[in-house]
Amino acid sequence: MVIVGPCSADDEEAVMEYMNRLAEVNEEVKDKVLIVPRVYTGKPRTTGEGYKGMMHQPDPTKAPNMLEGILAIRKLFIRVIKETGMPVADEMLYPSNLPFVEDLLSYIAIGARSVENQQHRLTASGIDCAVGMKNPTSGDLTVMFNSIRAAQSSHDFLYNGHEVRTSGNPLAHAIMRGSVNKHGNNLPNYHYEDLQLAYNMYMDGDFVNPAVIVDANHSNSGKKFYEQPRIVKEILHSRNCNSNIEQMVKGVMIESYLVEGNQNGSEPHIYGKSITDPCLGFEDTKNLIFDIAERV
Amino acid sequence: MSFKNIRAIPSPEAIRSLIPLDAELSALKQKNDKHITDVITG
Repeated sequence: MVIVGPCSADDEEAVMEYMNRLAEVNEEVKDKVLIVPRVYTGKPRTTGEGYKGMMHQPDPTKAPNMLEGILAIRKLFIRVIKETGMPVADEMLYPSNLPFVEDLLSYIAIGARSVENQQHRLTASGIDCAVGMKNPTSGDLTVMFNSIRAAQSSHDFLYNGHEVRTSGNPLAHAIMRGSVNKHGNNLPNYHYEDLQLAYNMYMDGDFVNPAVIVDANHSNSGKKFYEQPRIVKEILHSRNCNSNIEQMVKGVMIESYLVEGNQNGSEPHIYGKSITDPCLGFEDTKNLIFDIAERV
Repeated sequence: MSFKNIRAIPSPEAIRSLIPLDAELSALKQKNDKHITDVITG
């Protein structure tokens, strides 16, 4: 499985051009690779400043309008499903917003800053689709596995104006995204030994469906977007070296957009270029997906 | 409390009825969900 798309879905037309081009690639590899487009509409911001995603600002140049944002993301998700036939993945930044879009999402990620939060864990336990729990920015895999255990269990809590009971989500699984140490240095966790450690932690716990997605960007690449193809190839090599890792590692996550890199708003806007984290360009992404299809 | 109400937000049900997912696309979405489930559980 390849979960791929822009860091943030900031512009409906650019995102849809990307998704329609991705759908053409999907047609060529769909017998070997399951492509799940990232359509991320809420962006966690470390200091609370900066662009918070389409949910907050359907037009990044205008003031926040969350009602317009909710309508814009429903429209965007439906366009992706209708025009491409592909599923939609988003990050659940705000559990309280999930009822507005839960009927449209096929894959949900819980981010590194949210994964320790009880409301996220409990909400994940009631979701019907696959939910990937990222390791926290500290890199402590115990935190991630505790979140998976919580999401796979039944809970009673307050949700969407009701006291609810969930059944537990057997599709909750791990996303390994690297970490940052106290000096601010990025520490990757996509290497063979890291995957072996994750396998051992899965086996030591009482989990169903042990599964890992490896995020090739963020702290695994040190946000060097161009490293993603090399990282993905190393992950595929690790799968080939160890049948346990092959069985556990179900896919990769790639940040990609029409134009490589990112822009900070100080220069004229470039259509299809990330306004948040730097992304792999589309041609390199296409070549990487074809390469993955050849290797699996 | 220092929360200032900017605008009221309709209920999730009201929002979903404004921009609904039709039956055909809902079926496609279920099929896609199954593919992902098969990968995670496989």
